Parts: sequence; C-alpha cells; structure tokens
Amino acid sequence: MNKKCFLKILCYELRRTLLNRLFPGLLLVNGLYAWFLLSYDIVLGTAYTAPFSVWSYCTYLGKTLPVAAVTVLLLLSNYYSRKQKQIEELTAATPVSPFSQVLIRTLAAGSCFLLICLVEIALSLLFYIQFFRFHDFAAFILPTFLLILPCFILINGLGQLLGSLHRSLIYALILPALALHSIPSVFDLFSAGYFSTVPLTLPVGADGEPAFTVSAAFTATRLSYAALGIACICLTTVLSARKSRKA
Amino acid sequence: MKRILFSFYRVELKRLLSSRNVITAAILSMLSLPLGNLLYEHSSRVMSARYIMTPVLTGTTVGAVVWAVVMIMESDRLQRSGVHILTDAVAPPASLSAARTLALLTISMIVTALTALVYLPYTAARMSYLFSPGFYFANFAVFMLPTWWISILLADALYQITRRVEGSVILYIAIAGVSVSGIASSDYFMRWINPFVITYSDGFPSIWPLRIGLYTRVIWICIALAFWLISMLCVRRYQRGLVFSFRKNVRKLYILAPAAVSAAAAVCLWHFQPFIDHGPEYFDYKPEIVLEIDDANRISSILYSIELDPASGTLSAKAEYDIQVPYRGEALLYLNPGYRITSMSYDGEAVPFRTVDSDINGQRPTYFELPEQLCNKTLVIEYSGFPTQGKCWSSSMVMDTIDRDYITLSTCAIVPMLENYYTGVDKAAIAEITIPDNLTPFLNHARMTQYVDNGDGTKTWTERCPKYLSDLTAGYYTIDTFNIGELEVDFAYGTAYEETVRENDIQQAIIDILTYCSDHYGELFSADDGHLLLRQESSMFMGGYAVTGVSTWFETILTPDTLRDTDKGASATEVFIHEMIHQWWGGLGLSCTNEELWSPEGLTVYSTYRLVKEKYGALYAQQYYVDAWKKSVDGQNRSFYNRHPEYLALLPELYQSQIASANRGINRYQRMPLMILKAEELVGGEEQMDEILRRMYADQDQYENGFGFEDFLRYCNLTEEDLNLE
Repeated sequence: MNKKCFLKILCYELRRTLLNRLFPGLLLVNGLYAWFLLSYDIVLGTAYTAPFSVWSYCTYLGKTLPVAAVTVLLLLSNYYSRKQKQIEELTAATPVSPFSQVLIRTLAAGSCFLLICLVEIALSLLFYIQFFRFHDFAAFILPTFLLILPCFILINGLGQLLGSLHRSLIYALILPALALHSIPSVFDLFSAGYFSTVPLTLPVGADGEPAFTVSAAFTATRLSYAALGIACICLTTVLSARKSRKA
Repeated sequence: MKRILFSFYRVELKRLLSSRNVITAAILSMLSLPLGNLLYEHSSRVMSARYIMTPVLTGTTVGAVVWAVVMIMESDRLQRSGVHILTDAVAPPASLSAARTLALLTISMIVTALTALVYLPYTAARMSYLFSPGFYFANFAVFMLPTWWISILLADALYQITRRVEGSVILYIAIAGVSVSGIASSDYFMRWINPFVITYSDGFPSIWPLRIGLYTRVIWICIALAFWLISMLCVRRYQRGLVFSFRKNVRKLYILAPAAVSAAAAVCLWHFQPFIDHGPEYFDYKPEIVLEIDDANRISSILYSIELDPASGTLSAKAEYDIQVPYRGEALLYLNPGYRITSMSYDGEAVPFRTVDSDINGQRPTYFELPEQLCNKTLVIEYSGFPTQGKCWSSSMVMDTIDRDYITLSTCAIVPMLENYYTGVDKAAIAEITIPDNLTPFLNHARMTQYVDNGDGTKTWTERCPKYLSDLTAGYYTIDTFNIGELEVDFAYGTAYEETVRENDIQQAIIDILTYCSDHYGELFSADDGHLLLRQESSMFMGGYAVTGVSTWFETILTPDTLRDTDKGASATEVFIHEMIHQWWGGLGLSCTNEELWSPEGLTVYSTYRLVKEKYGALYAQQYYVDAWKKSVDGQNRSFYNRHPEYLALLPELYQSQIASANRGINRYQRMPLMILKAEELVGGEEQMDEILRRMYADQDQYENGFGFEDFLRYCNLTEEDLNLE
C-alpha cells in the first residue's frame, strides 16, 4: 500500500471517528469533568502545594486520564463492532496490510485522545491564567508527555488486543481502568495517586513547596508501560494477519 | 366523543411508549434523583431528609422540566413535520391534543412508580431501621407525580396558546422562574415546580410537610387544569389564527365550565388555606404587658379538656376558668388562627365575642367582656380546629402539628391565652389531654405520668400544671430511667433510635458525661430537685433548649451521620459525649461567643478528650485526639492559601468561602483544643485547668452576651501569644 492510500484511509478513519455522534458528546463529558476537577479539587492545591504547581497540574492530568482512557476504549470498540466484523472479509481482500490497519486505528484513536488531552490542558491553562494569573507553563511540558504517552500507548494496545479477541473484552477493560486509578505508587498508570502523595514525603523549600522531581523508578515504570503497549499492538498485528490469512 | 378520545388516547399511549424522546425523558428523570445530594452539601443529618426528601425533590424539579420539554416537542411534532393539515382533516385537533396530553400524563405516572421502585432498595439499605415504606412512596405520590402533571399541563397549554416552540419555552421558563426565584424562596404556595419542604424527622415523623405539599399540589393542578382547558379553546381551526379559533371554540361549554370551576377551586383553596396564618413574615416583638396587681387573683382554677384527633390533624377543647373577679372592660384572648371558638359562656350565659383577623406571631386576638359584677363564676370557652403555623417561623420549623406519630403544640395552639388574667405560673390548672395510646406526652417540657386508658385506642392524660401552657409534645418515645448518685435521670429518645442508643452504649455515655462533668466543672444547672429529663427533640423543631429540670437536644445528635462525624470524636459514643458536653459549654451552659478561633467547640472537644483520656487511657486519647489535631493543624499551616493569603483574594467568593469554612472548622475543632491543651500545660496541669473551667462555668451568669476568647485568657492569666502553636 502506498503512502497516499495510507493517508487517504487514515483521513477517512479520522473523519469517521471524530464526526460520529459519540465523540463530541464524550469530548464534552471529558471537558466538563476536567473543569469540575479544576474548580472543586485542584483549586485547593495537591498535597499542600500551590494549585499551579507541577505536582497539582500532574495530579489534575492524572485524574482526567481515566475518563480519557475510557473514551478511547469506547472509540476502539467501534472498530470491533458486529458491522465492522461483517466487512472484515472485504477489507482482508484489499492490499491494506494488517499492520497498516492497526496503525491507522491507533493513529485515529490517538488523534481523539490527543484532542481530548489538548482540551483538558487548554482548560487547565485557562484556569491558571484566569484565577492565579500564572503563565509559566514551561515546567509542565515534560511531565505532560511522561503522563499521557505511556497511558495512551498501553490503553490503546490493550484495547486493540482484547478487541481483536472479543469486543466485550474492551468493555471489561473499562472496569479496571476506572477502578485502578489513584494508586499511591509508581505503578499508578494514571499517576494521580503518585503525584498527590509523593510531595508529602519530600522536604519543603524556602517557598514552602517541595521541588518537583520524578523518581527513576517512576520513569522506568512509564517506559515499561509504553513498551507493553507497543508489544500489545505488535501482537494484535500478528493476530490480525493470521485472521486475514484464514479469511 | 368519549369513544374518539379514548381511541386516540390508546393510539397515542402506544406511540409515546415507544418514542425515543419519551424513553430518554424517562431515563433522565430517573437518573436525576441522586443529583441533589451530589451537587448540594446537605446541612441536615436526618436520614429521611437526605435519602428521601432531597432525591425526590430534585427528581420532581428536573423531571418537571424534562416532561415539559417532551410535551412541547410532542405537541409540535405534527406541525414540525407538516402533516397537521392532513391529521386535522381526519381527527379533531382538540381531541388529538387532549389524548396526547392524557397519554403523557399516564406515562409520567408509570415513570414515577418505576422511579420509586428503582430507588427503593438503595434507600431502604441506606436508611436501615429508620426506613418507612409508606412515607417513602407518599413522597413520590405527593411531590413528584403531581408536579410532573402540573408541568405537562402548563407546557401543553402554553404551546396550544402560542403554537410556537420558542414562545412556549420562553413562557414556561418565565413561569418556572418565578417558582425558583427569590420571590418564592420560602413560600409554600408559590413554589409549584420546586416544592418547599423544611426538613423531615426520622424519630418523630410528621406528615405536616406532606399535608401542605399535597394541598399546594392540588391548588396548582387546579390552576394548570383550568389553564389547559382554556388552552383547548385556543386549538387552531380552519387554519386560522388564535382569535378566530378561540371565538369558534368558546361556545364549547363542556370545556369552559370545568375550566371555570377549576379556576374558582384554585382561588378558594389558596385564599382559605388552613396551614399558614396571615401574620407578618417576621417575628413581631410586642411590648411586655404590664399586668394589674390583682390579676393573679382573677382566676382561682382552670380545667383544660383537650382532645386531639391525629386523623384529621385537629384539636377540640374546652377551657373552664373559675373566675373570682372579672376584668373591667373589654378583655382580650389569643388563640391559634386555625381554631374557631364555638362557644363562650359565663355562668351558663353566652358571652358575645369578636375575633379580629389581625394575626401576629401565630396568634389571633378575640375580644370579649364579662359582667364585672358577677364574681366567682365559671367562664367556659369551647374551641376547635386545625392549627396553623405562624408565618414568621413557617419557613424554618413546624411548631404546631397534630399527626398520628407526632404531636407538637405551642402556647395558643393548646389553650387560649387570656391576656388580662395571667400573672404567675402557679399550678392552678389541671390539663386532661386525650391522645392516641401509643404516644408518650410531655406537657410544659415535663413528662406526664397519670393516665386513664379509654379502651378506644386513646388515653387521657391528666396533669396539674401552670395556668399558662407553653408546650405539648407527644411522640414515640422510649424512656430509660437511671440514677447517677442522687440525681435521677429520665433519658427520653425516639423509639426509632433504640438500636443506635443500644449499639453506641449511649446510656453509659450519659452516666460518664454527667459524672465527669459534674465532678470537674460543677453540677448541671438545668437539674431540678434531684431530677433531670434529657429529651430528644424532633428535627422539625429548631435546636435544643434547657429549662429547669429539662434539657432537650436536636434529633440529629443520634442520627448515624452525626455519629460518624470524626471531627467530633473518634467513635459514635464519643460524638454523643461531645454533644452532651455542650450542656456545659454552649447555649445551654456557659454561652461562648463564636469567633474565628473561639467557639463552644474548642472547650467541648477539649473536655471530650479529657473524658476519653480518663475512660480509655492516655495512649488512646493521644492517638485519636492530640495527634489527630496536630495533623490537621500541621496540614492547615502547610496549606498553600494559608502561606499565600494573597492568592485567596484572587479566587471567586465561592472558593474563598469554601476555604474559609474549612479553615474555620480546623480552627474550632482542632487548633483551639490544641491551644487549650497548651494552656493546660502553662497553668500547671490538668487539675489547675479543671479549676479554671469550674470557675468559668460557675460564673456563667456574668456572661449573658457570651464568653469570649479574651475572657478565657483572663481566667488562665495568659496572653494569646502564650498559646501560639507555631
């Protein structure tokens, strides 16, 4: 499959995902939830730090991620619906490789996830500017990537893998995704628990705030999650290829 | 005509039951019930208020709006799709419209029943032994269903009149806006879409809120029905406008007559409502009456015979006054505005009287004149009626009500108050009160003891009492009697709370508290002649109070939510201890002022800690009290807004008040007890602190305007800086 064809299918999938009736509603829910979090929770600051500290910001992102992850899983479930299964025999006959198919789905879901994250980040920036006249967002950039990328890669990988086995397994994945948030350790996939407890254990500086730092264990865990997600995507490709051959 | 209507009704019902709009509305209405408790921090800790009142009222209002939207959309459906020209040709539009409305009313009834059933297991589980199925379903039947019907009828009427979606929506918002606006904030009758209920009681259930709720719903159903029937006359005919169609339809007397009857009924019901008096909205402080010197001797004895009928909520009574010397000139008596004097006689002769409709503070004046030359005769006043609430307190408490399970009556709602005939409180009267045999009565705050069982489900209680009766309360009370030294204590609490009292060992807690506090701070001032009655009060009556020999407290002191409040103690028993200690430190004992740091809570939490330390040991008290206080205070010190108050000022007022409220809680419940603990160290230890507290309590008469933090520091001979925790 050439690059032009790949882009054409990707654009089609993006249009199909972004413009369906489900996504705007889910985006609205994510936005409202994010604003609710900022207004009622983050406004008080996390672990006695300022509401606009990197700790509070990361806690905020960590608390919004479960809902964003569920949104991605719901979007992925569309790719494994009954109707989609019915046309699988046709798509298997096209020159689109299973890897390209999984990649297109990942990019489409990733775009939606990115859009949701952008809305949530924009809301937080708006909130900080409006309420605290805070503009120094440079320190937020690295933690943002550290939080959202591994989370998306793992959720997307697991979702695609389980969806290719059985659609209902994607719904089953929603439960642990919601239940396992805010674990106060480095293993917290969404990291809200980690960022809201670690500052309590750190010494405070002259300004009364603990300096922002991320442990090596935390970074290693995030990388492991990303690697696990990529492994799931590869496995999904293998499974899809086997199915295509059977078809 | 009837057959056509019924036929349309069946078709519309079938269609609407499978309509996506209706199903969505049903789901939204059902899902809206938990919103009230999710979005609104309920101040009441009464279980039935939290788990029945708030969800039902939320569902009532949200559902009313949702059903109105559906009604407008369904009414507009044919016009929107442009087929009304065809349907009007084959079916009478008014009949079709009426059938559609009736079908939606039926569906809303089904949804109400389903909603009640869906939330039944959750509510029953949360409320446990305090759950009453009858009361639960009655709330749905009284508030939710009628309000939804009113909303549907009004929405359809607005559409039929305007024939435009946006027009009817704007008008609907305007009508609903009046109900939710400040104009109607505490008005039972104006609030059609968001019924007004003060609160409920778990232990002393009163159906007064349901009675007035049902009454106001009936009024609004009459209004909505009249409006809807009139709107049926506006249904367009021959593709013509509103005026032409109305002129054509107005001849339909079978619509016009019920509309007029319905409107008239609404006006009458509103005007002659028996629930709230016509007095001023605010309590009117009348000047004290200066009585003549010989007034005390005008009446030698009184016999009050009072019968209460819970089924109708009415009282019928007779007051017989043995008058020695009649008052010269026109005398005045006050009675509850809901009562009517059926007869007044003196020495067997009828006495003319005139009642004036100028209510004040829940009282209505009646003027009468006795022949002054006739001495030593009996004045008999017979009266009866349904007690009204004084308008000045009707939005905050239910003061006078006669229910099957709970009776509370005050002053003029019990007996007439003869203004020119009272002075003292000598026990010159005998009260005979007939009430259902399962209720325990308290007259003038004291327990009634003598009764005769009438064998018809009632008992007549007799008690010698003062001429002036201030309070009659009866409810399902359990009374535990026990002695603490020479003090005999009657502990009266709602029978519904028996399990709570048993599980939390409340009786032992009372013994511990009274013993400890009496030893350390002094005898409870409210004890009378070696006897003390501790009585739980309904949450529908505001606050607790203390009079000689009687100490009452708010119902919520024993509710599960209060006993789970960890700010007040580590366990439910300790929370109860906390509340009881307020008999010494609070409005009932040493009245402390409420400042940012200082309040009755500081002393009460500290005293609870001391009692718990003595009872459970120093380690327990250190862990659950001192360490917990330190942790909270440390958190408060570290909190961002306390370090940077300049940022607090940048926040909107809502957040500022949230943070200020959280700070105030920590200041009063944790910081101040820690400061008192520090004061204890500085004054030389626990014994010295107890001595100071004993002196403070003994000097309570000197602090009628409140005992402040400065006063406390003066007693301790310390300065505020000495108690600084930094």
